[in-house]
Amino acid sequence: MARSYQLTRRDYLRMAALGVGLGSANSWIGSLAAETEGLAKTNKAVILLWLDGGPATIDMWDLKPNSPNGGEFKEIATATPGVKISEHLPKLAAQSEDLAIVRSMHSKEGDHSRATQFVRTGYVPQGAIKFPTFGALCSHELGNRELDLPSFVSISPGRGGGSLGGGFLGPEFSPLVIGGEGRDSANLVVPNMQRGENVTDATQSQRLDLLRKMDKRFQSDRSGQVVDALETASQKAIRLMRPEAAAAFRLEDEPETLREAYGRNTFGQGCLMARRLIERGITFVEVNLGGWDTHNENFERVAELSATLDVGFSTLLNDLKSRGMLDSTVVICQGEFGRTPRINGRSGRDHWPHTWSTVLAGGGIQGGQALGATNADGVEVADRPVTVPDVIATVCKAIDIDPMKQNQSNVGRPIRIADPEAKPIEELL
Amino acid sequence: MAMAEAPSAPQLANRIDQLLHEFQQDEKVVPSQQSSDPEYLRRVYLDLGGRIPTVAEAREFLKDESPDKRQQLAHKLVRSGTHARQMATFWRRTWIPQTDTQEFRDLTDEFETWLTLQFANDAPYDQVVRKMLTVNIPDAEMEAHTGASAAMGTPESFLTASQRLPSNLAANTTRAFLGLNLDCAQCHDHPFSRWTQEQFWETAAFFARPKAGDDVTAEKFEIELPESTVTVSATLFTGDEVPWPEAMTQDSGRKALSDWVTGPGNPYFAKNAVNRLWAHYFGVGLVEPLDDLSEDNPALQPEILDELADAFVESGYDLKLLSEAIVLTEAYQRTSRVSAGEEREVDLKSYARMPVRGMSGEQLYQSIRTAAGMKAVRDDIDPTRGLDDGSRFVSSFFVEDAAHAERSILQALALMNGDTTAEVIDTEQSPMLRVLADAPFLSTSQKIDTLFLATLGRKPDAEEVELFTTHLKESEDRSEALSNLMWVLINSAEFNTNH
Repeated sequence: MARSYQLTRRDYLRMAALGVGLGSANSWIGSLAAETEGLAKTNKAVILLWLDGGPATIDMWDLKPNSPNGGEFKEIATATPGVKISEHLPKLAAQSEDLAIVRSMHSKEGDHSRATQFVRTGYVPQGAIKFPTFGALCSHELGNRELDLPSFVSISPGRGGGSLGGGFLGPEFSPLVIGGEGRDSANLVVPNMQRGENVTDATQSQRLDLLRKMDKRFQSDRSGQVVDALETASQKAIRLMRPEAAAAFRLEDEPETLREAYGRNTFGQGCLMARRLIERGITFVEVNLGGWDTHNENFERVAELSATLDVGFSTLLNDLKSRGMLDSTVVICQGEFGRTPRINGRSGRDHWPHTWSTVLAGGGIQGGQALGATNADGVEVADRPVTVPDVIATVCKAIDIDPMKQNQSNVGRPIRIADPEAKPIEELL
Repeated sequence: MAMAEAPSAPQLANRIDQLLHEFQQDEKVVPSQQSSDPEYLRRVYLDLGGRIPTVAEAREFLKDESPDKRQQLAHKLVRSGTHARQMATFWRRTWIPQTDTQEFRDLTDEFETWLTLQFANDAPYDQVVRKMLTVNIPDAEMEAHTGASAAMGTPESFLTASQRLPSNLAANTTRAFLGLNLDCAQCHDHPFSRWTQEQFWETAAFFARPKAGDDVTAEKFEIELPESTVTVSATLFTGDEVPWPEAMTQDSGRKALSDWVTGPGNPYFAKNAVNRLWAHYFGVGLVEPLDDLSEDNPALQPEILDELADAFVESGYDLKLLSEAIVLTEAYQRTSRVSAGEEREVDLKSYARMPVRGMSGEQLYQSIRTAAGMKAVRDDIDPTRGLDDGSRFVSSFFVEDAAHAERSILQALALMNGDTTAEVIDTEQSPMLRVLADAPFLSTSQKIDTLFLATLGRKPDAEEVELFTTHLKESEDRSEALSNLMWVLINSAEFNTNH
């Protein structure tokens, strides 16, 4: 643990040396004009479309029309010969040349909380180890500290999502969380980003100057994680209050037609926000689409959710591509597990970690393929089994992170970014 | 049962000091200096009272010259209403952590109201737990619970938050009251300890409800293992004999388990309470994790755990004795400052120095209000009003573990620019600022003194006086300048930590 505090402190000192943050009284009103230009196209980045609750991938990416487990949906052809997906994902079907569908995912975790931790950190929960979430790991490796924006943003996270953060890397790598639990896209704002109406630039500078001096005195003879965490959060908040940084979150600056194209819902607008943030150099953005825990009325609900996903995901891919950002941005679309191939008595499907699908796109991932397979009734992996750590290692490779790099953990032993057993999926790279 | 006489709080504190002294000598740990008076004052108010001291309370303590003024303060604080309320929040969070989630947040107020009344009336700890576990079981010793009224609150929340499911109740009862984590055994045998899946379900079987009638027997308390045809019956996982009541009813399983959990012979019950309280005051438990008191995970200083647990039982489960004794120990009174020549980082479990801890949402909210001279106590008990600003602030500043508290960017922004801060730095709304602005008889340095006492519980040093005086003198608008100083103090790391 000690090492990660030192890192935070060192990073702070580096920031101070660069003259940002609280370094000088007036620095917070500085200009970021250069920030939105040029950086994004070469920055490696990841967008995670998180399907919270465990999506019925058997009704989305890997249908079983000839089995009693198949359910109500029909398959449709995609732009990729031989690859078929659900009729409720027509726009994505047309863009299948960008998609790599991994149909042979399997794990052992069938509980929401444990499975979420596993898929989001790459490790099953183990005693006291505070595993950082993948977004924190990527932001630790690639995050641009000269940005006023935090390098990891989570948009309307679902249950359990809130507890995933920097882990043993420290709070500096926890995400900025925007958007509450509501479904209203108007909620996608960073609250309290503006100071009080009557506070002039001069007053704000005086306040921050005094605050910095008071905190420096306090920190001179107090130590520990809590002191460091306050310092980090305060620095980041002050940088985020700069008008140019705050503008990153202004969805109203986007053309109305584009906002419509993404879908006027939290997920669609969240995808658009993700693109704006990646464009400004942020490393990792999570966008949550919840409601996939379909123990009842699976087909009705999956059809509805698929429509939302289809619109948001496909527009995101197009938008990234038209801006030349798709080659450097990996998009991952998955949830914590799949759902039982057998349909239960309430037209629902229950938790099923043994077979499920994950979809990857962009960042140099080879699209236009379906990798691996499940058997005829979808209950077991029949070809090319893939694990959660394999996917993490694959994304690492795509964004030039060494998946076997070690970080010091809170239990005093080093832990690799991806599980040592993980093997990058060569067919996708 | 014949009981040894319980020690007084200072006696118990002395005994802990001796034991810790021996431990530190063996481990060659050199403890830091004692805290200064202002440092102790603020800490003990936050830990016992859930808020910082007011200006008047700070002045009174700091000018007091009696050598035993810390003892007097601790004695007074553990008997105050604000302590009962603070402990209600603490135990609610310990016993029913689900109440900090969206799903069960509604239970918070009714349960805290009930607990506050219990603690204010000196209800012994074992009795409080028994009432929670045996809600709605008519009993000769206890009046039957007659529905919840908003004014009295209810102990029913523990059962409600477990959705009255035997498996949830078994897991939550053992974790909350015995400091044992049986949950893993729900699905498979516990990886680290001796609990088996069968033992977990045998515990759950106490919460089964057989059909009412004359023929209820111990064997009727049984439950089926999930996805199997195996049925197990109510059995204690320690192998102890079940204290079945003479007249059996369909609630006898719950009653018997409750009697065993809270009985003086239970090896975990008192230790769990002691360990959790200790963790509240030091940021780390004598045993960590807090929900693993099993024999495979012994305390680093087992003698201290035993000493406190014995005194707790002997005192008739008097929580105030424990709290008062702990805050009088030398370990609790150590400074959080790093002195010259000391390591910056020290092991929390050696108790050589007080760690700087984060504040809970409740502590922070009430401290901000106190600093501004406003009513500290949340007045949002009325559940029909929904989440008001205070509750929203409290839940958005939720802290899982005070010694490792994080601070998010959103929290930092809320504290700088949010409504709660805006109100207390508003020269019209903040009583403190109004008084300071309208007090011609106060000099500039007296005003700065007052602001420091109100927020940090100490007087400013020379350098701080100069910094703040310069700001006041350079400002055209004096009341706005005072408001800025209040903003700075409320946002400072010193204000935002318990140190």
